[in-house]
Amino acid sequence: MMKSSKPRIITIGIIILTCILIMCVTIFAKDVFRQDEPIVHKYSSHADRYVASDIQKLVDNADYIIMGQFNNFLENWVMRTEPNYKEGEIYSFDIEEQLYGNTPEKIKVVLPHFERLTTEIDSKTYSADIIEPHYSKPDFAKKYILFLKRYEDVYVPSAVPFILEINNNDTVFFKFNKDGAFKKFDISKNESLEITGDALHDFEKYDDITGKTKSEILTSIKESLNKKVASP
Amino acid sequence: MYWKSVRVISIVVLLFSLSVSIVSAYNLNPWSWPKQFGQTYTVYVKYDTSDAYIRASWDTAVSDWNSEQSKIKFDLSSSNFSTLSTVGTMSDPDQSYYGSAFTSRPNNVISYFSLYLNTGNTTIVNNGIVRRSTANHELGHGMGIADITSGPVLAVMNIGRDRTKIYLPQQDDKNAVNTKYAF
Repeated sequence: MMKSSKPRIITIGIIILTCILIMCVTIFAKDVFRQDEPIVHKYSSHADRYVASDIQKLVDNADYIIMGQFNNFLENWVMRTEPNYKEGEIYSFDIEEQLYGNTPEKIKVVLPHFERLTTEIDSKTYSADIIEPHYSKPDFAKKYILFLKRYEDVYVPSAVPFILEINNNDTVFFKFNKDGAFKKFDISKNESLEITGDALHDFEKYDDITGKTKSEILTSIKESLNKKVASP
Repeated sequence: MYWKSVRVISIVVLLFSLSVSIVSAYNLNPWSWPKQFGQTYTVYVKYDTSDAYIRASWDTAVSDWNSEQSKIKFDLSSSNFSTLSTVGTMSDPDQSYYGSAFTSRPNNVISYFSLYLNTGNTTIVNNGIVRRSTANHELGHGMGIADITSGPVLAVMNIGRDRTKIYLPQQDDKNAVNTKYAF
């Protein structure tokens, strides 16, 4: 006995119609909800920097390696105005020992401080000061080892980070900024802006310097200098 | 028979794990160009500098990327008047700073970028290979690829690379583009 195919056709038809209905409702709902979807504008800076996590890399890019103390804040310095304003701090630095390169006994060292990231949305300007990844406010009571290059009459970083701080029990700390470098602005109820810069988020994982003693670091610098001289 | 199957499965799993660990060395930002399925997306770019040697470095880097992948095509020309995307120079005395990429991207869709080589850095001024390496790095950001911050990864996006040796997009960089713009 042959079965009628009518019920089967009706069932398939119902399934197809249900699918079409679901699709239409989904598309309609998406359009309705899209009106309330938040708009997040994003503006960011990503720099190609010489990042060093060990002594060899620090030594390789440095023209001057010095040990001594910061003794005075001299002035803020506009490092550039375009694109995006950037400001540094100039300190005088007394050198106790020149580990590499020849410098006067007292030099001016620039610590790049922040970059002012500026963008425009609907003719309105927004800006955020993003602290540089190699910025660290110096402690005048402590000793430091710095890795530098020269720019006109001042000395500037040769790497990121470039400051080693020596504490009272001769333990060395690699100094860098761990700030998340993220600023948010609410433009309207459904609209916001996020400004981000460079940050050494997970740099601690690769920091091969912090915790070593001053004498270990000095030995390591000496060995790295020998390699640098051997293969310039 | 049983042990043969176990051995084959183990080898396949091992090879898969290895391939995943090699392929995933790159990092991707969550933003990208609005590329359509099956099509190459053209990014129109204009110069923001009159320095001939800097322009030549950008030209070379654009050509490097265009020949290494087919997902994004950079069209760099001084006659692209209406585009907001630019390549040029900046002057920053920080000698650890080689170049920079600024991107604007509502809801993670790139609308334009501004890429710079830092002519305040004497290495950028004096070494054409380092300029090329940095220009290729910044164009990588211009496609939404992120920095590789450490490790011996052979990639132009690795900020710890030797810029005199790694100046072209490497396999890892190409994998990044092909993953970001998979279709």
